[in-house]
Amino acid sequence: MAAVLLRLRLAIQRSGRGRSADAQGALFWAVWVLAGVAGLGGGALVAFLTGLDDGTALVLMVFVGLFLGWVLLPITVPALQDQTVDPARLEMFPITTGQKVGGLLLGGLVAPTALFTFLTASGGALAPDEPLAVRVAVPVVSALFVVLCVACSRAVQALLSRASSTRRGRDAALVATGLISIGGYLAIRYLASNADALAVFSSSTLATVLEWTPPGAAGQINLDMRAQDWADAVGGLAFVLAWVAVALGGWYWALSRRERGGGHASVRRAKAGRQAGSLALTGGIMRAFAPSAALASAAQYAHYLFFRNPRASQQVLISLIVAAFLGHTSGMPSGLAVAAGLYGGFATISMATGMLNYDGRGAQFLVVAGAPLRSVLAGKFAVTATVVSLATVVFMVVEAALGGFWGVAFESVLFGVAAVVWASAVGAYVSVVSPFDSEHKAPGRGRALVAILVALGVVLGAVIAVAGLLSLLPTPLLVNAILAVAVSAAASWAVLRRAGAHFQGHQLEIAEAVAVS
Amino acid sequence: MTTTPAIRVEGLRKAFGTTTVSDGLDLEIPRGSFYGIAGPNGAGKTTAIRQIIGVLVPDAGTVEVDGVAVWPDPLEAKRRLGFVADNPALFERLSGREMLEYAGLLRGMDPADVATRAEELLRILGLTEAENRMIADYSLGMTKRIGLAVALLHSPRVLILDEPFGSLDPVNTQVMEEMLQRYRAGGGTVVFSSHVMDVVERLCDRLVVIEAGRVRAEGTVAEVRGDAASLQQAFVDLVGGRDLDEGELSWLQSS
Repeated sequence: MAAVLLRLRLAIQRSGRGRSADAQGALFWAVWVLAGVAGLGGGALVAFLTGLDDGTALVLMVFVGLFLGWVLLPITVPALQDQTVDPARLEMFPITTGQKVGGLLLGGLVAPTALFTFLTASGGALAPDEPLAVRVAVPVVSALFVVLCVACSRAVQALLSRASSTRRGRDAALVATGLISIGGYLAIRYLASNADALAVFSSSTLATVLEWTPPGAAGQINLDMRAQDWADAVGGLAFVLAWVAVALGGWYWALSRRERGGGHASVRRAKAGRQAGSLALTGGIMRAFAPSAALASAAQYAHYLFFRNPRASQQVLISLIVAAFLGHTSGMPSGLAVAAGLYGGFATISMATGMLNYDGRGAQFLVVAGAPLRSVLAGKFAVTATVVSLATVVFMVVEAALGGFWGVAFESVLFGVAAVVWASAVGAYVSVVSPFDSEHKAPGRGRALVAILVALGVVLGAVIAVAGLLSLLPTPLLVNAILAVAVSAAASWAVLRRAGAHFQGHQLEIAEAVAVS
Repeated sequence: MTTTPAIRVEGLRKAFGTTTVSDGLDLEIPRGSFYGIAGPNGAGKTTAIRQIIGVLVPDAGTVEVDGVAVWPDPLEAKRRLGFVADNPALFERLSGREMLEYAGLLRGMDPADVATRAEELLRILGLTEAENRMIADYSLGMTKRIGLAVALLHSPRVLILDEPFGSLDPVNTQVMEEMLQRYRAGGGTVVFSSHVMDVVERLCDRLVVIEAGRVRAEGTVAEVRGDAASLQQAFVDLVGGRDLDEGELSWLQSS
């Protein structure tokens, strides 16, 4: 059965890339070759680090980094989840949970990412002065490390998949993702601003801590074998095997619980005391605005961004947090206003370039209903611009408080808002020219990535150009900031109109692209 | 005086690659009628419907809904239409009530009308208890009912349904039939596709049988049935039945 599932996975992988058979074959092999080359590079790095006198902590960090990539990236970047063979699609077949886990594990091991991990982890075999027995044993341990990565990654995805079918689970997953991202951001900021802290990477204390983590233990086995410390190597091996068993057990539990029906979302009770004739979608602060198609669209999009669609919510969190890191490190050396512009640009492009991608089959409804698509896009644009503008204000307040820049904080916020509005319009345009289905491995993601990179260039280029031009003017900073907002508003209106026209004119193709199933 | 038909289709052609799915289709559906579209699997019923409702561009031919040309710009025709798909496409992460409100505001309806009509539709379709649940958590039958509510909310002139009675239990089938009869009594035109001939026979004034993208028969139910014992038999006679030979599937036994 495992072989059958492996063949299924390979067939889907191959047919999922490119349109023609030739293109499919070429892309399929190109990805494998790229993974192999990258893995050899990673292996060379590990070999070099292994040969250093004080390289223990660094080697273990490579192993931990690889492991965290496997476990965290599919959570924080939903597009990286392995959906090649969806376990839910296997439920109709007479396959036991154990066979599913075995087949999916085998499939996960025969993948370009697994090849990359294996080659990188095997680098220790090429380290100088390594005994022959160790050179032979290292690839075996590396294979076990890959099993550990795949099993933990798939177990976490299965557990979170189950959790995300309930409202509380979704909230918990989102909070966890946000905390992990914020923790990473703060750690990098701390290390970047404290050169002394970097010395920790060569300390034996860090190595001692890391070797007690499952991936660190896997890396330590190779180092123990190199030191001829076979007892510790065997102990480490047992430790890693135990973690593999735990991960497989968790994966098995998550799949079997789903089959028993334990993964269904709880039924939400009707809200009591609803006033007759009141509106459900455009309630709350939206009551302040006149009901319209654009308002309804804004309300729908806001509902999706905040907790209704976990992928959309994750994207919002990650966009705002990563932009804070980029805005701070890239922008603050040039001043608060530049940091605000860069923050607004980064956060908005990350968040705004997929305005339609979460709609799924709802996009088909828009087409069938003959909805005013320009208004629909305008509503989504308004939500994005508002959310990131508010986040920009928070970012500015924090930065101004940390650096004591209160004197230029207001003007900086205006610069930030100008960047946000401009980036939202560019994002809206990218959304209609490069849409794809965010819920599935759908065609169009590659094209969208290129479009997003171009959009980022356009937005940042405009921010830098406008900032440069305004800096030449002898006018006060506040006047310059207001000018920036005016220029941004005018340019954004033109781009948004064009995006709306494209949406209206290509609605059938767009609806098809964002709802592949 | 000639009355404009609810739907007029002339010379509709559509091909996907070398496969012709609509092959010169002509239809005239009278206003206020209960009209059935029947045909075997793959006959081109859904493709024809998609061209009529303005979501699939025909290669040739014309389509009019309520006297308004659907192509090249289907927007005006869509205002006069309501459509319920076999598995309705909706915003699945909105609740049933939110979806109705969204649909109403997108169609430019007065918010007060949206709220009162939504309330009534949810109650009649037995969805009040589930009105705050996400549509993603609905069963297919519930999704079909909320799809019907969304399609009726703006009181369209023509209502088109693709396989409307599949996935519905007998109680909800009866409710839907009554709703459609009431809608028709109010001057609306109901067009639906179905494989279930007894439903077509019970509800429809007229029907068309489509096969390989062409009209095989069209007329009142009595006209299409002709001398056959039932509409089902007439349908099989028209499109060709398949009988199993004596020895085929002899391995199919439970012991």
